[in-house]
Amino acid sequence: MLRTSLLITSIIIAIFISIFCFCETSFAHKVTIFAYVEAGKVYTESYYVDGTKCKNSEVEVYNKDGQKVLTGKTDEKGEFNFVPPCEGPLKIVLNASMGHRAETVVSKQDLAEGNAAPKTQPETRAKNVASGRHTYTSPEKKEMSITRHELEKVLNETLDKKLHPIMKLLAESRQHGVSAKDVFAGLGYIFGIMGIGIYLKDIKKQGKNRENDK
Amino acid sequence: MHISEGILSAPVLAAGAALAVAGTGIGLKKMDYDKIPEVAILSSVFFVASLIHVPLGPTSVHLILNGLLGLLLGWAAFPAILVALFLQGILFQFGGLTTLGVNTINMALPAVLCYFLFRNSITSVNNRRVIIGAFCCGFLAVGLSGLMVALSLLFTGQSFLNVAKLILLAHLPIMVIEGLFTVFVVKFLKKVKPEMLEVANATN
Repeated sequence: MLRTSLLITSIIIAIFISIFCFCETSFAHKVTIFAYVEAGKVYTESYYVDGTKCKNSEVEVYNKDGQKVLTGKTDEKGEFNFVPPCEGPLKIVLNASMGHRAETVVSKQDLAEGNAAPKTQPETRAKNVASGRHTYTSPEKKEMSITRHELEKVLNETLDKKLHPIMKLLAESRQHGVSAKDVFAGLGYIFGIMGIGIYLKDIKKQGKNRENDK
Repeated sequence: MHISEGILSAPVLAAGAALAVAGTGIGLKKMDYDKIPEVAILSSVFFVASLIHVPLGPTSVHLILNGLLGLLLGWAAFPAILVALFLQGILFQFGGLTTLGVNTINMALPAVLCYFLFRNSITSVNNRRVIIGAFCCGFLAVGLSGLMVALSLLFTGQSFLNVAKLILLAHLPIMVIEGLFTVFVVKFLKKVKPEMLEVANATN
């Protein structure tokens, strides 16, 4: 018996070794892709659950009709950035090696908002200067609408700058999906299921005992 | 080694689910009253083991311990792994509900296979035979799981050889670690509770 199992083992190990060849990739059991729009570009970051970045993984972008509009590969930092080729919503699919896949959607609204502000930046600034002088002489109604417009642009601009590190932080923190709470919950469930199992088997056992008594 | 949702085609998923149901059925039938707590404990071990990442070699992978489960539980490894994978799926989002069947088969079938291959060697009185058997059991179960994953991905158009290569290479450190871990557990049980190994042998 030992000889046969050893023989089988060595055959299987031989198969393994013959399959081997050096390749560099990284994988765990869950991947996450995180996307946000900024300055007219879509930024994506991809991670495995333990925080490893997905390097050289394929990213596909689909439009709302499900047609593939773009493909690309993540860089060394697991990042892939692209200029949206069409209107949203865009579905971004990450295909990491050996059965790992994640997807995320950038909505039309996100895309439009992220696009609008930065693209018009220089233009707005020029307008700001011009309208800044202008507003004093304008009727009240017009002044209100212009200042609000300006304010929106300036706010967008500043927010984009300030939010960039926060977005990055968010992307990094989202990957840590496993909490102690979940672990204990899982253990609790397992022992709960054990209890139900024992209970059911016990009913059967008692039933048999009763039959035997008769 | 958990396959995510949205990758496999429906026939593969259905076949995996059917096989998993069959295996679990056999496991539940063979599992007797006194064994339930043992199954539950090993199921929790499997559940938690996947959170232990081993940063060795070029990659980062996690413990699986399906060899140990198979060795101690036999067919009952099926329900144990099914429950653990289900909970990993809903709590940690590892794998997914539709791929539950395929993932169960991928991990539990090698476990049961290794049980039949090595059950005799671990109850042997020959110390060397016990160590070799336990090591090979832990080592092989993970490797076979990797091959099963590659096989399931075969139908998605990925090249079997490439995927198998990747998986086995990444899991080589884990295979060695699990082999050693299984030896440690078996040696420990032999000293402390030898009847556990023998009961596993007798009831299945």
